[in-house]
Amino acid sequence: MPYRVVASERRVGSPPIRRRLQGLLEKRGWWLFALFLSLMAAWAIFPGVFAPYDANYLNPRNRLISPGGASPEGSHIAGTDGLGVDLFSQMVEGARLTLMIAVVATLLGAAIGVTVGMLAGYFGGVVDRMLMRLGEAQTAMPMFLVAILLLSLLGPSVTILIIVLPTLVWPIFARVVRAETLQIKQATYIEAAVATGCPTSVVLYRHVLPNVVPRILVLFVVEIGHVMLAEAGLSFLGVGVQPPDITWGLLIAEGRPLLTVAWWLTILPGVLLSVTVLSLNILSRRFEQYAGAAA
Amino acid sequence: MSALLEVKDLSVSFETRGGVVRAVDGLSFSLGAGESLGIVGESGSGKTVSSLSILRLFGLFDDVSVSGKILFEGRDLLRVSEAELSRIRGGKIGMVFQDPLTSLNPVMPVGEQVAESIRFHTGASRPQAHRRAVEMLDRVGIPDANKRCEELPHSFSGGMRQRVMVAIALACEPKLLIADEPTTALDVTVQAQVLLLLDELRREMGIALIMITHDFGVVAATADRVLVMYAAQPMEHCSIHHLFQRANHPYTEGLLRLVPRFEHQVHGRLHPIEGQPPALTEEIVGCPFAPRCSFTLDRCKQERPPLFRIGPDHESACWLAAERAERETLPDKPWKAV
Repeated sequence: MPYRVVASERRVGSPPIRRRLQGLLEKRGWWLFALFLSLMAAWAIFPGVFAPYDANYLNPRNRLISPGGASPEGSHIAGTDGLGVDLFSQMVEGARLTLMIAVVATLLGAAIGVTVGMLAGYFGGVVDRMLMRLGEAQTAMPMFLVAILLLSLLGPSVTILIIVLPTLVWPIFARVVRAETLQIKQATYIEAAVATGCPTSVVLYRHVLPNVVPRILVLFVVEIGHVMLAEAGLSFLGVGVQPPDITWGLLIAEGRPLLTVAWWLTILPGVLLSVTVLSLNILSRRFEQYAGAAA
Repeated sequence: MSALLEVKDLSVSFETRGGVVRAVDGLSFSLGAGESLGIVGESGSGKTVSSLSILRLFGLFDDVSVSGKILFEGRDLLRVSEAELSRIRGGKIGMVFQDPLTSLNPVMPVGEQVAESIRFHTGASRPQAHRRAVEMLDRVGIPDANKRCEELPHSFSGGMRQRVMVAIALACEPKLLIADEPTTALDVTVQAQVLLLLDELRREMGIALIMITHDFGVVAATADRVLVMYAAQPMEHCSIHHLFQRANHPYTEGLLRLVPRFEHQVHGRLHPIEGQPPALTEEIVGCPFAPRCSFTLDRCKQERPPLFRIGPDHESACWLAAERAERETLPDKPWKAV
């Protein structure tokens, strides 16, 4: 950010509640969300430490215990599902695949998008037009439907999910990186790098790339959230992750038929998913401020 | 003596929305090893474009057409392959740019930026290149180079950054250094330091120099010979002594009158050259300076004057000079280094 607005002493009215809440979350409370994300990461890495029960252990006698209830085997903080499996353990277990798919798919999407964006921005002309039209053509297609089609044709699997999900996000990365590259390539240091004999590949990955990293990082964090929601959607529709694998989206899907009798089966994983995506968004805003200050 | 760099009839033009811009029009000069040439001219006279064409740095211009020859050590730089050119850029020809504040990559430690070019051109290992980089930084007068090479460009002042640029340009001991207004963006005191440094290192290492500037003071301090450009064309080409003692071309004379001098009376006035330089998108018939010249002949408006040899070490693109030269007898001996 090139300049900072100094708060005026006399305030005209108070800012709307929504803005105030948002500001508060970003300025004061962001570390809470960072903490929450770290916890989710810990769940994903060491599920055994956090899950009180085996997420695949079912006991029909313990079906549909509401949150806070107990079975002969112990207490169930988040209740149990229709088969008597502890929901909290399933949520902990589900963190791994949910986060893994989202992070890996976004990484792939970012890799494609950054490459395309840098090439388009740096070379301009025909290369630019071709690559960016490709991205636009793809954005124009309802990729979510295409993903459903692909997954139902090829059969749902985690691998195919990870291949399909990046197509949703790469054009966004490509556009942002292209815009940044257009600006960076005007800088004298790029000309100077060429003048010292750097081949184009070196100019791109040593001089252009490090200068777009802050922007990519911000975008990356937001897009993890988007991809996570997309995966949940696909899993909810039954073309994503299949049992016995668990993701949060799948838990929501499995809870849906029982919504009238066991609200916690959809609401709790849903809240978990929402808070995770919210945390990612808030953290990315925080990054953005740092990136802006650094630039 | 064969020349290190020989530019023959170089013309560069750009296709823009406003029409074709002729940025350089029929430029020829040559430069021997270790020699230094100043290219002087006002903004838009084609001096920067001429220097960029030597390294074919047209990255940002899409529709550029270049004709002529740029022979460097006998090879035509306008026709060598990209790979070959990569070896020459930074390896045999170094370049220093105008604005040191934007010439360095803001997210790369300066030492590494110096080392990068060394690694490319000498194939040195990382630690070797690093040592050499520190040595170079020390040589251009960065205090505490050993520590400061780890720092990012933003912690250096403009003058210091330009020193780093000089270090990068000279790191591989090139044969030729092109300095494109290297001191324009610096404070006057720092200007002097950087110029002194450039000149010192250049002489020590025996590097030829092309100094592009609009400042006669800079030319006087660094160049052996001077080429004056106006409206994309060369106007006068002479040794530094001739420039200040018997400038021939009316344009050069006009420029020199604009340099404030101490020996003139305090309340004297500077005499600007009336008028504006011609737009480069228009076809120029005759001498481009004719509309502003106070000696215009009929011929000047119809025919473009070539560079006439009017004396040893002296060429001028002026019909008046040609007439004068015809009247006087010239020594037959061709003047050196052309």
